[in-house]
Amino acid sequence: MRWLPAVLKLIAVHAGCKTLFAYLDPGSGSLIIQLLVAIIVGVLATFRLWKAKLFSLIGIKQEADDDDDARDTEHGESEPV
Amino acid sequence: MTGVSRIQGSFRDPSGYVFEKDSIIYRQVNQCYRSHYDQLMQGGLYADLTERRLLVPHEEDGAYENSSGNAYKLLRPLPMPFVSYPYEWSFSQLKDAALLTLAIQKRALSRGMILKDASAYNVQFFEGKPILIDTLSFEVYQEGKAWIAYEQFCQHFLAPLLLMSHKDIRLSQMLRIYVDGIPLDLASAMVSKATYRRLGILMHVHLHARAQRQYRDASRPAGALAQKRIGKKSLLQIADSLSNTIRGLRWRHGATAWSDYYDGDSYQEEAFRHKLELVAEYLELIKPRCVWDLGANTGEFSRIASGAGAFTLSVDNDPGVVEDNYLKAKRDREQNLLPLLVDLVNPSGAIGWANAERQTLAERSNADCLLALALIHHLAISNNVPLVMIAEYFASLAEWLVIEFVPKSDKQTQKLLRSRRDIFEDYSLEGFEASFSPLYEIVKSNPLRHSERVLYLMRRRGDSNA
Repeated sequence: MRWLPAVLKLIAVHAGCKTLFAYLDPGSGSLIIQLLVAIIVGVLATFRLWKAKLFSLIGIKQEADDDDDARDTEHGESEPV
Repeated sequence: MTGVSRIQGSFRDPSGYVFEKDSIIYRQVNQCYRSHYDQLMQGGLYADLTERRLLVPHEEDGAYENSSGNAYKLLRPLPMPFVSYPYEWSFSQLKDAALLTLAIQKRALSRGMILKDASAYNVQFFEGKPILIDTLSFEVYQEGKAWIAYEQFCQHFLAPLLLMSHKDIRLSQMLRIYVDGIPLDLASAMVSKATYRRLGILMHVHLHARAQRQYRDASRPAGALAQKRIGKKSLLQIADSLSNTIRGLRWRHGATAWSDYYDGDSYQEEAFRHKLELVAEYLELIKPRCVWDLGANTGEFSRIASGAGAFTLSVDNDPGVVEDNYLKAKRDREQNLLPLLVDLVNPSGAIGWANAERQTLAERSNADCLLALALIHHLAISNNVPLVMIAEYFASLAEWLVIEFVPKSDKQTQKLLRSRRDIFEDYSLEGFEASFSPLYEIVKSNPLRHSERVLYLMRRRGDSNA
């Protein structure tokens, strides 16, 4: 995974700044990896959105996505039992 | 205030602390947390979370005087029937606690706040479901700010669940060693490379561990990097990604050591039914408020107690039966039964700062009555614990004891003795009664039908006249 430092540097160059405060030490590595994760999940979410739009355009019916928020609230119901 | 006892585990967060006075738990909110508390209460998040039973509700205590002058509010949260710890939870209990935390994070973000910590110790089980008990876990969200508690969430929830799911269910006990969660580099090194193929695990555990290692060294230029902006939408997507990763972790166990315990010749169905009747009769007689069923298996007898209205801890050392017990309680929406994973020959000890941050099992005892059914031969013969010491430990936990004596002639005891020399001269009905009598008064005893076993109802001496 030699590419990881280079990717993290790239993220650093293309982002702005914001002051942080909290009683926990968030860990520098953890903050940085959040940026990488944010980019990846953002790209995937955009891809899913465009895919859904494309399918809708050409009339292919997709299975409805689970309602994450409702499912999260029912935190005790995550697993079929 | 006099007679105040600060809860030992409540010291990390300067926003406030928890203390006990006159057997009531209070949470002080400090002045420095004022704006965050007001946002929680007035911004709708508190009402949203408490209505859904995701956050413990509280009342504000108006008559509070604080000598130090740093108090803003005093809260009286709804009391929990028992405080349990993550290393005492089954796989699905820890998973549900993790999903609760993420659901709260998303709701907080939608109302202009964010979780500033994500400790598994902030979650308890109340009426059968996980609930956040730390009212001060929120802070006002600042646009662009990253999630401070991301590392803590991964260490407290994701890493142990990953190890339990992909390596060995018993690795949940690593949480007894690492009080702030399992280090991600350790979790990453312990699981197979095949887990790299799952994007969520790759990002949140493996790459996360690499990034931690890379920027642990202060000489690395992490300062500027660590202050980059992350939008709210990204934080919501990260929470979704964590939720999906955790939902994808599963554990399916095979047959447990106790799967066939109630079947077959050795354990007569008639004796079992008789025991069910007697336990119900004993409990009806003493009407306990809180019962601990030790060696509960999947909770058959626990449910007699919980069905009669007693809050019941259903304790076993087998992760498989605790998981089954929890899933059954969840499916049936049982409100006063809490299955827990505890090994009685090595019960949860005091850990954390000054060995006082997390209490021993015995220190948390609020039981009126113990059930110790089909248990004593495992303690005395499999683990060589003298009968007198078993009596002493039980007497330290509760006033009442329902205990089953399993003689050497019983087939289950014979199984335990099959591969070892019988060094247990005192292990007899007479030896059992002689060991328990100095500490307990025998209130009732009944031989079980079609069995050589005897069931006892005992009361701790000294409590009898109370």
